[in-house]
Amino acid sequence: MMKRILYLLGLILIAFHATAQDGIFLEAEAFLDPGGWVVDPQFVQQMSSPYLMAHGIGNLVTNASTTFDLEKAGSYNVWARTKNWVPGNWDPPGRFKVEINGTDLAHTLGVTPGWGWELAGEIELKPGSIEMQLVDLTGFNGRCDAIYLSTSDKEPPRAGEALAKFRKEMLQEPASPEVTKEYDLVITGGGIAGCAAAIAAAEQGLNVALIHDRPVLGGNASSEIRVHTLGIYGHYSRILKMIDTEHYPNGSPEAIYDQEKRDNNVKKYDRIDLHLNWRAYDAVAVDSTIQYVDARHTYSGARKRFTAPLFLDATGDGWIGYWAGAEYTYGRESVYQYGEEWEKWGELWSPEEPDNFVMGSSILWLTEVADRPQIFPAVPWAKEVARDHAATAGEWYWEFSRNDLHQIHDGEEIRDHMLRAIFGSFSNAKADTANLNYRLQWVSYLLGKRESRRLVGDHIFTLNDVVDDVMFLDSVVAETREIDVHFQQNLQDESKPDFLSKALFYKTDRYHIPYRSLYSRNIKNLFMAGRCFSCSHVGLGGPRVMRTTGQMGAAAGLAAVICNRHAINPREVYQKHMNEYWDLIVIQKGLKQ
Amino acid sequence: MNILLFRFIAVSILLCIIGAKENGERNDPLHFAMQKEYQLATDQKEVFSFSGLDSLGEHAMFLLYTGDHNPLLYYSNIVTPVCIDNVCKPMYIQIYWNLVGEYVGYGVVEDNLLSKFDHDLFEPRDYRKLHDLLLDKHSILERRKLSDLFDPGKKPEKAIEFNGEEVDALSGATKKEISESVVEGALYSCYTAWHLVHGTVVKKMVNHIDSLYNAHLANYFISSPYIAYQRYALQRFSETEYINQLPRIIEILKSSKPLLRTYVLKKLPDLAWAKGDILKLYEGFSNLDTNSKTLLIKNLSLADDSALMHVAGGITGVTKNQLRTFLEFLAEKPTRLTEDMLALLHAAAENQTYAHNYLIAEFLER
Repeated sequence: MMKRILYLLGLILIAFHATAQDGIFLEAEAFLDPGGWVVDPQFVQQMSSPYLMAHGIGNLVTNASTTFDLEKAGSYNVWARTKNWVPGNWDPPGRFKVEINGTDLAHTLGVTPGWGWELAGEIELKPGSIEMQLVDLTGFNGRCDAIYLSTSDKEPPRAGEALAKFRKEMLQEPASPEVTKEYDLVITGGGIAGCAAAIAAAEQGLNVALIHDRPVLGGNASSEIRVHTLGIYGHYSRILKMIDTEHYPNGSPEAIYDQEKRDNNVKKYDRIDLHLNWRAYDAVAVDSTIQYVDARHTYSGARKRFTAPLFLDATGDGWIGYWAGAEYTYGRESVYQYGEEWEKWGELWSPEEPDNFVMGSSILWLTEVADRPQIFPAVPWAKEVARDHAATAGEWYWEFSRNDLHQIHDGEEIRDHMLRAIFGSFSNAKADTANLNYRLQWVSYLLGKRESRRLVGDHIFTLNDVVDDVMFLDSVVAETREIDVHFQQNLQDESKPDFLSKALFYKTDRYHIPYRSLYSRNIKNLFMAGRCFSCSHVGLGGPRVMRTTGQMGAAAGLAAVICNRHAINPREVYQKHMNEYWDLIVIQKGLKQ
Repeated sequence: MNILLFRFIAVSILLCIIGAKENGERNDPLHFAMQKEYQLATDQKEVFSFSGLDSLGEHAMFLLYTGDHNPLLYYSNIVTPVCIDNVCKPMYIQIYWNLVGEYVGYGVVEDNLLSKFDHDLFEPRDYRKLHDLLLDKHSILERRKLSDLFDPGKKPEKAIEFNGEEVDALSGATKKEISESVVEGALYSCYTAWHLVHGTVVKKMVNHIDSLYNAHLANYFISSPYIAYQRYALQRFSETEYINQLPRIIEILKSSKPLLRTYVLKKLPDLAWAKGDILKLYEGFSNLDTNSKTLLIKNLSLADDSALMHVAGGITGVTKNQLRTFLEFLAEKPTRLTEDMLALLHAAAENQTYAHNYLIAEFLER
């Protein structure tokens, strides 16, 4: 019910379908009722929009539906922007159809490789309220970005600038967002780092915006991805215990209880203006100072501008820094750059020549044993990836990286590869009569990323800081967990599937991360926390776990408080106010909420 | 304190016995992962000493030589205490490492064969399993303490006796993931041996061979069939050596694992890509691993036209990004797009089983 209300409100806010003289444009994610389809906003920067996906893990999902008003009668061509997500010599796995006013349109969709428009069919329509449904035909991740109806035969632009222009025209969007809101601190990304930062800053009186592109908080720790939090609490146990997880197995449904705890704890802060289902799409800096972050509601398409003197990038992918022009790195540095060699593991640890072969992303999944035999559909399109690998359970080492893939730009391909790995391996396992009663209970569709852009701060944290046991003047984050870098198993043994990894653990004593790794070197008012903090590839290996990233968030949030008190930028906290900053950090454990 | 003292005395006594025994005769290994290099050894020289988990004892490391003084293997005749709850017994094992410090095999001493907690002797399959365990330098034992090896929730099926005394250190059954890789009933021996073989001794061997490394060894290593030797040489080759040894390097690349192949492909000097030998690698393009294909495509601008033909011939086996890189390259260098290549691309564009054929079709349309 709440869902429906939200969609209706969204529709009232901005009717995210538009009519122009010769056509009607409907964003699929803005459908009044998505039914069993999920809104996937992960790849907006690559394919231009959130989309609806029929993630039924082999079961047909219920129809997504919407209504719209039609002014002119006529014979309309109906296009859907979609793709065949596994082209090949088999029936496309993500097929669906469009139904209008109870009539099935002629063509099956989801059959053409690459994102583009497919003609669903032609239909005679009369003016008035029109009802439209998306009908899943497979249960395997059919996807629809938008629907376009036109009396013309002209297909809309397929992609790129032309599509962006077309979309803007159809939606009649003004150049900038309709609403602007002002805060003391704008945090983008509601993972553990972003949540910790928001709590830390709000408790000290800052008005904080927390922008997150999912309906629930926690990022990789959320009930949608289900990685447990690891690491120590450092100075921030009180804050982090509000948002972390128990040490259940990765993928466990127990994540749902911690989700409830986390969401409730963050929502109780009046000074945190929580924007769930809002995804940032731009940040603009003038004179190396960010002026605002623009975000769009992932369902309704409504836009807002967030202004503040301070911004925190907790997006994981470093998007805010990237848009604002912050220096960043991506990939594995040469072993000679920082001298991060571990001779025993050579290239697997740190390569002689730099490359983009970073740690991969995971999709966690879960099965259950039913009390009667369960049928799983044939998945010929998954076999190319799964090959003969059979499995009834996933874990963190279901991870994909390859030297031609970028963990951000190729995110959709990586996610889809993992889905094929999971469905194919499970299908192989089902061929064994011992697994007859197994069924898939849950498969995430959200990538659990380990590594992406790393924004560059005044200090770049590396393995040397660990090995040399460096105690910085500004050691605001502490950790004891091993440095843990992953590699793909098939590098050592070609017979292994390409979606399985191994971990190399470098044992360590307690080590520290300086505050100077938590703000941008060249953007004056930008903090960063989470996996996009300032570090090397190997340096990321340890502190990427989520209690550590939570510590970063809390530390950055408190630094923002100091900035706010003195109207200074993050660097000046280190230069002039470290004592005051430390005082604020050390009282954290004892504070009453 | 008493326990520690007791343990110290017990181990010291054992080590006195051990000291005398470690100088015993070298037997042929029972399991050995290389060719029979040990048969060529006519001489040996003690090169350093090292300790295992129990730093109380030092073991002598020997370098085995051929008759003409070429190094062959590292070898140590080890007697080490295996202790549970301060009850110790000696384990006799003769270990062989290759010249770059990797375990390759072990032998036993006839009068002191390997045994389990309950004194049952190892079966042939147990010896094999120990060898497999020692070959795995990424073993699950690496990061575990002894106390981490047991499942506290499970009781052992029977009381464990060790050297005639009942010991209670094994408070639970061996964890499932551990028991899969160790010899049943000989967990402590396996643990002790693995950490001895893969411990600080490895660094000592590498440092030692570094001090001996010369042109002869470089040639021996690059000519050998062993990836570890090839990698050692390839890590140290100059650009000139890469060029001079290119035919052999290409041979190695054709049969090596993706890890070494991609390492070398990243390191090959530009000049090497223009040599005819590199075409032998492009000839087998279709059969290479995906990561290597990425690097071959990336370096097409340095290679001969026939390299392009080989890539075009295998184009339906490349990933989307690899295809994009290839097509972008052709778009930038249209003069390198031949009629034969166009024919291959047209065929690929029409190949309905190739997932990315639409990208080729789009390219051809342009």
